Amino acid sequence: MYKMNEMNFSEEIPSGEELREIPGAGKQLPFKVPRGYFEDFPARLNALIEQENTPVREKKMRLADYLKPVIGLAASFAAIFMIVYWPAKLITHEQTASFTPPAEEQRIINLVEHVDDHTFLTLLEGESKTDTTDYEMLETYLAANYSDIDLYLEINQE
Amino acid sequence: MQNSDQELMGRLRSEQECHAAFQELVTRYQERLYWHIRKIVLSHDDTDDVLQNTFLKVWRNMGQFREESSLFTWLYRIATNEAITFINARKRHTLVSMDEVSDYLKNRLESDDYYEGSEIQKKLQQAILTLPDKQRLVFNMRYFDEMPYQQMSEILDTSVGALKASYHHAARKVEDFISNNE
Repeated sequence: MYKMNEMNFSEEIPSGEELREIPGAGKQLPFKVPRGYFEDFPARLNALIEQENTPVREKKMRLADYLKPVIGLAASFAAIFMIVYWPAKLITHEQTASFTPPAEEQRIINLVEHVDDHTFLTLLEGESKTDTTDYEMLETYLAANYSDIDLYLEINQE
Repeated sequence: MQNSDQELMGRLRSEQECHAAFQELVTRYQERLYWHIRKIVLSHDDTDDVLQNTFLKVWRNMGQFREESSLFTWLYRIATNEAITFINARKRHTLVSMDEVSDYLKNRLESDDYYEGSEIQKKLQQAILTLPDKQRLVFNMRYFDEMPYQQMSEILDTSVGALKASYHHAARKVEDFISNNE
């Protein structure tokens, strides 16, 4: 609050002098207000007061509020698993299944897996030797029983 | 009016009726307080802000009204303080001198869409802006509102003699400004 100097000048001013008008200016204020301002003001003020009276309630944190981010994260991982990993696994599984050997082949593979390297090589060499022997025997037989012309004709007849 | 104000204050203290009574108080005093504030801060927008703050303060402090003064005086005091606080805030905010605050108010006046005065009225407002804050307040209340010194004394908490002297000096300065700027 403004506190003016406590001085008594009441006798200095002639009565009525202080109320005279400034020539030409009048005593009317040169201001106006927007249309309907005083009609609307109480409602605007009321809205402000109601806004001020509405208590801003601090939300209490419940257990669910604390778990919500964790649950969200878990759900995201589950979604990624369902979208990416699951189909990928299915495709991989199908591809693996298509290369599964039949039962007889599987039996041979199992047998071979239990054979050591030395035995395996020996078996391979023996097999090759047998093939060579058969070939040589066939050659000897053909040379003894057929001439080249006979063989040529035989092949062309087929 | 006095009896009516007392009746209104009684209703303002009642929990059931306080909202309705406050609405009535606003309707009853809004125009008088608006024009009182407008003379101090000049622009409509600033006046609107100050008037809202005034009534918000009245609403918050209704329980503190002790009926030592009239309701009218109490409301005018709050409005005057809010308007001066507004001007001081401008001074602090912009770190400007008194002359620059006058320039700020002058600019606000000239850019205000709701000013509709003649050239001489504009000159009168410019002259009032040259006055120190206290004299400006007293001049406005006395010249435009023709408020009795006793009432002004209660609102401004100042002796009648000091108010008369302030007005006298202010009126002389205003007349000099206008005659020198014709």
